[in-house]
Amino acid sequence: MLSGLFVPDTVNYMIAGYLVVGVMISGYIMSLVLRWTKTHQEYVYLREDQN
Amino acid sequence: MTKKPRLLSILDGLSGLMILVAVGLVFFYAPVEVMTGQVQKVFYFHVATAWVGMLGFLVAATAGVVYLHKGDPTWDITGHGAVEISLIFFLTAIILGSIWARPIWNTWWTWEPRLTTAAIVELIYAAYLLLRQGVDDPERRARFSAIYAIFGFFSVPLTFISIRLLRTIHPVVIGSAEAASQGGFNMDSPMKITFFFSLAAFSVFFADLLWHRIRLGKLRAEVEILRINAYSKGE
Repeated sequence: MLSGLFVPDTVNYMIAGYLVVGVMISGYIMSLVLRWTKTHQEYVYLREDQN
Repeated sequence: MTKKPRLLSILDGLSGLMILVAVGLVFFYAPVEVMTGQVQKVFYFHVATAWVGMLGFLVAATAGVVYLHKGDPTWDITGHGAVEISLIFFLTAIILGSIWARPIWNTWWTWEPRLTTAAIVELIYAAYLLLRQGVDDPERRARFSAIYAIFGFFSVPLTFISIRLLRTIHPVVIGSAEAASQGGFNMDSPMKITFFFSLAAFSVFFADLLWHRIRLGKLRAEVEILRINAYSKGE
């Protein structure tokens, strides 16, 4: 009975959705890492400068 | 200050693992919904990212109240970090909703109550970041931000209840749906497990990101003090 059931093909939208999640989250993590690295370098430089 | 706490490393591992398990549940455990097809699987992370967005705005409002009461700059850093993370997650939820809507509603966007209020919330908190950039004095900036985060939060429950109070095509999966809603479905047991696990995974992930963001904020504050010291020494 169920074998004739039509399931819409929306797989491309699902892939697009999970790509968006991946890009947004990894982008934010990258920005955190870059900002931390840059700020930490400045922190180390200023500490050495003061000592 | 710059040494990473052991508990944070554990939280990093735990949140990464939970997100991976959530992805596994979505793709390999939750069944395909027959009326809308594979795109329904977007729903699990759509709700989870929206939930984290709202959670962060609540954290920012709470941090605002505590800052105004205690005046400790750590609470300002917490509120700022929470808003920054939540903006990313809430925007992700809006984009995911739009991608889901295209095959189901036959449009990327429609000005119905849920989408409209969600867009307003996103803009309100984007303005929070602009406000912070416009105030130079750290104490004034923290005070204004705290008050803004408290009042801004009133827009968040409005978004949540909009689909339960107003006539809308947005489906209500948990609770009773409006008769006009399109694309709704009943969750079976594997769907519920995947849904609630995704919510838990994103909540842990949010806590992890917030902790990292607070550390960054504190490090920036220390750099600022060192800069001022270096400047006054040079004079």
